[in-house]
Amino acid sequence: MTTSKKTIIISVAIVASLTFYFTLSVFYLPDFYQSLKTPIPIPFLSEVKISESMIHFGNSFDIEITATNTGDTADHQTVSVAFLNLTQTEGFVQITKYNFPQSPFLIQVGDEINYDYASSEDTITAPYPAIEAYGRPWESNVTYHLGLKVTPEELGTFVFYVKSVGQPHTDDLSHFPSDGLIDYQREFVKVYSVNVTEP
Amino acid sequence: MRSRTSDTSNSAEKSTQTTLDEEKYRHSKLKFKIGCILISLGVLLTSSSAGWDITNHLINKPETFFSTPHLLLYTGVVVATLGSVIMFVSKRSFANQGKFKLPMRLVIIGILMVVIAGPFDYNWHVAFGLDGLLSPSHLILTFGLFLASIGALSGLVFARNFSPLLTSQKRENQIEQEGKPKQSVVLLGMDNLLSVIGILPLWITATGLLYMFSLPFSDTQSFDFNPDPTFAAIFATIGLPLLLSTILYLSYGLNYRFGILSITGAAFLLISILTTMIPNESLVPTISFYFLSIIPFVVADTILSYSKTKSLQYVAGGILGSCSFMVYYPFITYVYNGVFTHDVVFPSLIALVYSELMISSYSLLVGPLIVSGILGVILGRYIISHSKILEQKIE
Repeated sequence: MTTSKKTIIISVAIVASLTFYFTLSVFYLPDFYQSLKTPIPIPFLSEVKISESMIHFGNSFDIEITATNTGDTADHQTVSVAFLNLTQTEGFVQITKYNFPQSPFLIQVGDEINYDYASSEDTITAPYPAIEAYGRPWESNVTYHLGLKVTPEELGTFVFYVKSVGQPHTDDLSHFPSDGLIDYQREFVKVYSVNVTEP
Repeated sequence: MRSRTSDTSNSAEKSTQTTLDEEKYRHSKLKFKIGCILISLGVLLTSSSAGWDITNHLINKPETFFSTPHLLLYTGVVVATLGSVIMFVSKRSFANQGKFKLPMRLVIIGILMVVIAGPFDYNWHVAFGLDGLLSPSHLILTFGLFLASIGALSGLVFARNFSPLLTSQKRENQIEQEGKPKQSVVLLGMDNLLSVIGILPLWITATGLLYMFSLPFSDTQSFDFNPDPTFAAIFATIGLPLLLSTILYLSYGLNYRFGILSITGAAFLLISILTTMIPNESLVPTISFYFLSIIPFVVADTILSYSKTKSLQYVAGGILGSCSFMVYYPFITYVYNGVFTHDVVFPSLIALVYSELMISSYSLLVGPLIVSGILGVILGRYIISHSKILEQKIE
């Protein structure tokens, strides 16, 4: 084979290979990647047990939460309990038990956190404290438990919100509850309360 | 008669001495090369495990220092340290000569940094909890690995090309001058493959250094070392294709053989698949497409092997640069997401966000990527010519 023929063959092969590669990478693959199944985690709080509906000031009550992911495996699923009448958790909220794969963490007043089911990287400032237990990942049909002991800071109605959010949040099924009150994070919550009376 | 006997005896003694010296030299050289290989393999294991560790943090958020990737990472450190000891032992008779001091020094400084970084990293975990990608201990570790990998690679290359006793062999072993094939066919297999083993850890550790200043994985409870998203995107757009192109040009330029660039590139893709894609099951369907990036590697390899003209070498660099957006998948998604898509990139959504970036941003990025790829070839040519000057000084 002459050198010029060889050069032509190699050049054609190179152009064909690169055309194939870039066409596939730039035009076909994005469509293919977007057609891949996006997981839909479905969080479910099967039980939120409160030990007392009324307590004397200075006493504590227990909260026990059982949470399951009934959908696809979540990259990250949270169970959060927010305390509207507290200014801080230290000395007022104690984690008595949990079996989540990671340690629960505290959200303090003033912390910057995601909102609107983490639909963007934007954050919002927390106006009240919360405890967030989470699984990363949270496998399908796996159940975790969280136990808290809470001591209200003042007399009156002690209110707390409970919710669970699965991520990626690609469907309305990926949050629990699916309706009701909306908190400052623009997310649905279940509202619970305990009456705190004079001793 | 007596004189002739004496001459013959002297000649025989000299011959025996030369044989002994050659034997000793060969033995030292072998030990030196084994040391370099162990360092390269150790650094390769460490840096690959670090990639797996990043993925593990993304998926599982481990809360303990004692994880499987960390175990492998420090196993690699042990192997590299062992290699540096072997390299040091062979130093007196072999590595102490001329420019062999340079690889030795790089390895010693690099391994010392790596060894110091281990307990520093552990104490950092104890003091500040979970650390991010960029932390002082990680920076020392990665830079130490980078130096050690340069030392090991240059040691392997110098050992291949330098032979003070076996001058005839030296001539055979010399790397080919541009456009003048001189290479020994016998040496092609093992020594060329050794250069792949030497180059891969350098590529991966240098990538790690670039990732430290471009990936948003360094915001922790105690410190926020995350780079500014715009800076990160610019830094990655220049740095990643430049590195890819330089490294692959070096893999070609240290051997001047078709196939070595492709093997180096394929090995990088394979390591990336093993450490960043297989652990994240949502990325598994994308593996076969990811491996298609072997195509531009083979094309660049063909161009470089077939033509020695500068302009075609730059074309090869441009091709390599343009495919860096695909080669550095999946982590590159996080870099450009900070500027273009602004999504929260959960591990199961990486492919989706990457595809959005490909549609919206690749056309904007491809120009700078090509330019950086060309600059990579220029840098690679400079390094090769500079290393040849070093070799000439050794002679």
